[in-house]
Amino acid sequence: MTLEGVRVFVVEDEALLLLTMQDHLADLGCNVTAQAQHLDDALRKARDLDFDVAVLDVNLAGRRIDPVAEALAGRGIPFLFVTGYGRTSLPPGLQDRVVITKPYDAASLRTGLLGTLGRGEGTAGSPLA
Amino acid sequence: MRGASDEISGKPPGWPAALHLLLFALLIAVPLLLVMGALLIRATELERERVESRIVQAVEAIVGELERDMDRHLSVLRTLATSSALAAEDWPAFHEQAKAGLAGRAYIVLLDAAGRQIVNTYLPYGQAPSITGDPQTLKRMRDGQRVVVSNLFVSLAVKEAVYNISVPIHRAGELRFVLSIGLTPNDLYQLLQAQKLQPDWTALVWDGNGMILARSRDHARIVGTAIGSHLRDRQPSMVFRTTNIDGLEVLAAVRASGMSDWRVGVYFTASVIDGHLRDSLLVWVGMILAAAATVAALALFFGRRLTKPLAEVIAAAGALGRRQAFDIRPSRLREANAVVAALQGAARELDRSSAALRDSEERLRTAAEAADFGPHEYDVAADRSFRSPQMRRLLGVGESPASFEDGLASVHPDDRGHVRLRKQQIISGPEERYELEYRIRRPDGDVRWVMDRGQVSRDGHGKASRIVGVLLDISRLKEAEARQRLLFDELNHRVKNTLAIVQALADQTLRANPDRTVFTREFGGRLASLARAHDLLTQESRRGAPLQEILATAMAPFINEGRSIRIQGAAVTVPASATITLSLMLHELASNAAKYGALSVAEGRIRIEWTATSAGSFVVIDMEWVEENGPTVAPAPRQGFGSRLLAASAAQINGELTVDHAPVGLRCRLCFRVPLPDADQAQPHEEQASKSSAGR
Repeated sequence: MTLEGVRVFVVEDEALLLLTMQDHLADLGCNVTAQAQHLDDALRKARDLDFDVAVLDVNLAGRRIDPVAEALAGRGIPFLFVTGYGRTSLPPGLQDRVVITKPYDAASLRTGLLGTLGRGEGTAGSPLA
Repeated sequence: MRGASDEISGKPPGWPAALHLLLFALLIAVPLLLVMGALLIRATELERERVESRIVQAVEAIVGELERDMDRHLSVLRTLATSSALAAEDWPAFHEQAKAGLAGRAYIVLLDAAGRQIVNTYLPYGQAPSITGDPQTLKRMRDGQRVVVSNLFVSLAVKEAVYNISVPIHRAGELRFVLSIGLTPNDLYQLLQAQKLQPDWTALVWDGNGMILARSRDHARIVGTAIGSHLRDRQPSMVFRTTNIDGLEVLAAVRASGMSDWRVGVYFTASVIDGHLRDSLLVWVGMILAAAATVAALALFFGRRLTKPLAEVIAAAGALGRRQAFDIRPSRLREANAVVAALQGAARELDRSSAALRDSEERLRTAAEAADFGPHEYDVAADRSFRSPQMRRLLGVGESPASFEDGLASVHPDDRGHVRLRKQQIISGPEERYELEYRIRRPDGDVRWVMDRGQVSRDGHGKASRIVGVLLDISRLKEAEARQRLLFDELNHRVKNTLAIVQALADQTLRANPDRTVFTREFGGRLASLARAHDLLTQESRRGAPLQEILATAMAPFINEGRSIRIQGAAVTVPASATITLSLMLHELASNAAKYGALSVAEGRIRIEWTATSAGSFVVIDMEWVEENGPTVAPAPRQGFGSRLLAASAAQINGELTVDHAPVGLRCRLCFRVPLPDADQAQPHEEQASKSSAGR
């Protein structure tokens, strides 16, 4: 399975982690077509922009990602969560979504993305989730 | 005294003391009164007997006197019977002789055996009636009687009622003559008068025909009349009660004369004796009444001496029961004084023990208040819970009886089902102790966490009879627990975030520097920088750090080497999240300066200067990094990690970044906002609150 050319929207407030996510995604052949570090920006882009999948940090400088996730779910765009808190921190009603826990490695990012896009081998998420 | 009357009004069983005394006095007085009555009756009896014996004496005296009188008349007759004139039957001489012997008192009559009058001295000789007026006497003479005292008859000579005393005169064994002395009832009256009877007494003489011969009173009217059959038929006996001629009730005694058929009676009106008896009875009744009144008065008087101290003792006991003070002066009743003394002792003992109890209760209450626990007790059979004031305050309920379900009503609806189940298990199950934690909801809507611990008492069949326990408010403990859990979650998050950053640092360093030696140096430097930034936050309790210190810490390795680095600006605090970001940015700038810029030559200088301007609830920090005296800098051929990090970091803190790769030296300007120090108080809270909810 390949993630080549997949358009990804990354939401991550922490600069260093954003850069690293970009690099990992690039390594996987994805195109990071959009990114956001603040909730307002992320929400606007989630509603307006066009992409294949979203990678969402659950906590943006103390603000929850929930509205963004709900907007994406409303649009039917697949997404996965990245969090340091665990599955219980996910927005209500979206707790069955794919989760990657920080710190993560490139392999789990790949598995997570494939699972999110329905291209996985039946595994819905990272073994670390 | 009010209390005493309250208690007495209840009429306790038993008799009052006065009644006991009355009974006691009556027990003594009644026999005495009876004896006294008996004596009075006896005295009356004796009086009656005395009177009766006097009547009898009087009757017998009259009979004796009567018979002596008859004897005298008989002597006269016997003397005359032997006279020569009689023997010679010289009747005129005998007439004279007899008349002389009478001394004018009465008259003499001589009859022959045929009843012809031979001599009658009442009339001159020769004028005597031819036959006797008293044939009865002659008949009795013929029957052989020696002396005859006649009944009353009307004399043919005297022409009025008279009586005779007669003797027979025999010749050659044959009755030849009867010699009689004629007497009038008046002589008997004189005889009765001579007896000098008591004024209210009456003496009466009647003959064998029941004709009255004489009566001590009203003689003239009565004489010659027939006596009532009730007297006439009476056999001589002791005194008897009857009705006299005048119809009065009388006591009477009757005696017969031995020499005649006559009877003598004496009587007096019974009312005299009855009067005595009545007087005695009245005296006795009076004495009984007087004695009863005296006894009752004394019983009341002495009873009062008993009941008054007793009433005071009762009042004292009542006061003791109500825990009131009582003050009683000693009475004259020793037992009452002893009871009062005992009551006073009991009151002192009660005061002591209740003071001790109060102290103990106070200590328990204080402990309960201090520890915020509310004791309670549940009576299983009665389904009734007794709650202490502390427990009621904890539940926010008033003082009213509470059942099992009332107790559950205080439990939070979410916990109620579980608590009901557990409590039912506790009541039915074998547990001796239990400990539950649940939420209660007070009427004001306040929700509190409580710990409910208790002990179960069971009967012989293992059935719970009583549950004693305490309710402990553990809300603060629960809050602390929740806070601690949040802190752990937050710590976990931060550690993982930091690890993610470290991982990213390693990744990025490795991408730029595949050489192991360079990687080790670069990664080590970045890690050390990150560590120092964390140190700053630790010192400042993670709320943030002064910009001055952030800069000094970031530049410390170079400052320590003696490099010319100037740090200058207004005092301003940077929040925790921005501190790390800023530190990483500064590290990248410094690393770049050390490799290519001002710090790569000995005379190079770096100025870091800023201004802080208040704008609403924020402070705008306008900071500039200026490198001087460094080597001529060529523009960067491509966007390296440093540039990307600076851009992304600036974006992260909503900053505006300008990087000027001037040939004289790099100039970098960062403009960003931090919350106003005044808002410092509010900001961390807001942040914390949102983080908390994120970590839910």
